[in-house]
Amino acid sequence: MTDLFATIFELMSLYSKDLGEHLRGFNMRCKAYDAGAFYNTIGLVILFVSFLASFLYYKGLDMPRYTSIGKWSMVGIVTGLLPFLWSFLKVSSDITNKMYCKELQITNGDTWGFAFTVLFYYLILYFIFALLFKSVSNNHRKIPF
Amino acid sequence: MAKLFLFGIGGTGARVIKHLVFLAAAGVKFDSNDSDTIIPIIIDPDNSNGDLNKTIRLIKLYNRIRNNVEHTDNNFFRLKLKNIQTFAGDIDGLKTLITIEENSFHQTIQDIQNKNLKDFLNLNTMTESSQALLRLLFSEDNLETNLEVGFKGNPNIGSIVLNQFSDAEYFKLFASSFNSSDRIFIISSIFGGTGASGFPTLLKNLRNPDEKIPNHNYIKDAVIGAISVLPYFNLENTESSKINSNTFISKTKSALEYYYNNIIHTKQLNSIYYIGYTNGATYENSEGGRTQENKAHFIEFASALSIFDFMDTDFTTNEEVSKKEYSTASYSTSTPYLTLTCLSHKDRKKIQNELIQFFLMTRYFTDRLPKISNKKSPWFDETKINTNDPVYQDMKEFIELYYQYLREMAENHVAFKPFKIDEENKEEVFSSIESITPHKSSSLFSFRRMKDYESFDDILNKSSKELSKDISNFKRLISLMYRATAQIIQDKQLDYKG
Repeated sequence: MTDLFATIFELMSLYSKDLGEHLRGFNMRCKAYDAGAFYNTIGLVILFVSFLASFLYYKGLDMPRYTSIGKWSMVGIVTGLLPFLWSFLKVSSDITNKMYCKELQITNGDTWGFAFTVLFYYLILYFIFALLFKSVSNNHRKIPF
Repeated sequence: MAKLFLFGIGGTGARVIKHLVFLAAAGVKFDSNDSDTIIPIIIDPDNSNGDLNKTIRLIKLYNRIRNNVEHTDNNFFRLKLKNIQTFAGDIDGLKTLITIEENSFHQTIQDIQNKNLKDFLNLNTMTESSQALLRLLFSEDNLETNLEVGFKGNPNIGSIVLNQFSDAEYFKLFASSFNSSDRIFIISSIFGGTGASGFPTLLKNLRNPDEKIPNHNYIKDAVIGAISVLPYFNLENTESSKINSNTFISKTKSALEYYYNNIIHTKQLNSIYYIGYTNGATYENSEGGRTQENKAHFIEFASALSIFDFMDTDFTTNEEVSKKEYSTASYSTSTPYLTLTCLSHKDRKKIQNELIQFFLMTRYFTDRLPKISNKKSPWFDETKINTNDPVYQDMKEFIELYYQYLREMAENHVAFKPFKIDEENKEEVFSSIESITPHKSSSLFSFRRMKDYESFDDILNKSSKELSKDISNFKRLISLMYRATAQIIQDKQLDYKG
């Protein structure tokens, strides 16, 4: 599963391969991948949160006043900030606390790149779940199209 | 399919038919599914009568809208209001005989144009003794009366002039299209000229038809009902007008006695309704013509309900024929006007839900629809509304007339105000039914509480999901409105459950 998530996240190339190694769970002794793969955690989180956010929009907020692309986007972006911030803070904290293999070159730019990658995939998932949920919605069945 | 031939005689006839049109638009219909066709025949010598022209305009508008409405899922505009001319095509050879105006619901009286009674009777060519007899029966004022604007409250003139039904083209057409299961209903007032004289004269022609008239056997034995409207308004007494409302009561008494002896006692009718109101409003005195345009009145509204009551009555049992019913509408203590809740249970059951549904639809059309620009609203998108379609203009005009009509009834005396139409708060549409408080749905989360129009949209979206996508535009819109408003009155407990 780690490989799957890693491949998908790294497709975007918004951050360095070294950060990728760290996120695969490369331990601080630079010996093995046993430090716990953050890719899995964040991958599952964005799956779960985007599912919940879509459900919230299409069922919980199923009222005409929320029927607009703008409001749908806002729900996506606001809920997307959760994994975005979490991934940003997690990597920032690792960098600040030097919690990664010293052989890896990880910069602050990588932190932003990874956070934006997470946000991007989150929004993709939010969009895919939207296509699934929109048919069960009463008022938002024409959202996003 | 059984048809109802609805004769509206004089100004009151035209006005009651106007109420019928609004009731039909709201979806009030006959209980029997076999009857959904009304053929209004308005008989008035006064071609330019304001009430008459307003009613004809309304019927034409109704029909234009009705032609754009689907009835599988909808009762709005359900009843067919047909012109007798429509049937000419069905009857061999008849179309060529008929010269009455195409698409007209009004039948004028022959040979009265630019004539007074003296000319009509050819008084000057009569022998001296005949002239003397007529001068005994008719005053000089009567003989000089211009017949083109009606009979100015003189039934003695009307009974002479109107006694030519069987020669009229529309009457031949009516007779030719009459079937054994069809019914006839006559609306007239008892205190005027045209109605008071036209009703017994027409009835005489129906019960004793000329044997040359087609289907005369069916007509003779037909189920015939009538409403005779007793005085319900007064007129300003002016020097210039020959109509004096002080004579209304005495004329009514005489006519009632005549009706009793010659119609009721001899069982000429299957059903007769009387309706009236003492202490009515005082109208401007108009002898006829364009200026005769009375405000809509509750008595006319209730008179229109008698047509439905008549059509819903089964005349095959003797029990119904001999039954007498008295119905009143009374004020509640909370409002100084009549509301829907003041009507009898029977009437409420018949019309309350339909009227509320229709009113809610008109409010949506006027207040909400023009503001909907959100193409993402599913019902709007799925309905493929094209407001450039002329039927939307017709609907707009119809609604304007409907609101004017509601205002008139609310301003009249006795006032009937079923709905709040000029409230400042346009948003609370479900609270616009007088004397009926909508049920407020409680939601645990405040963000889930919807305002009235939002709730309306929500229900429209739900209904749109269930409605066929095969129809679009206006047809779908009306069907959708019917479904949604039916759901709303149920959810908000605005409906009459009896």
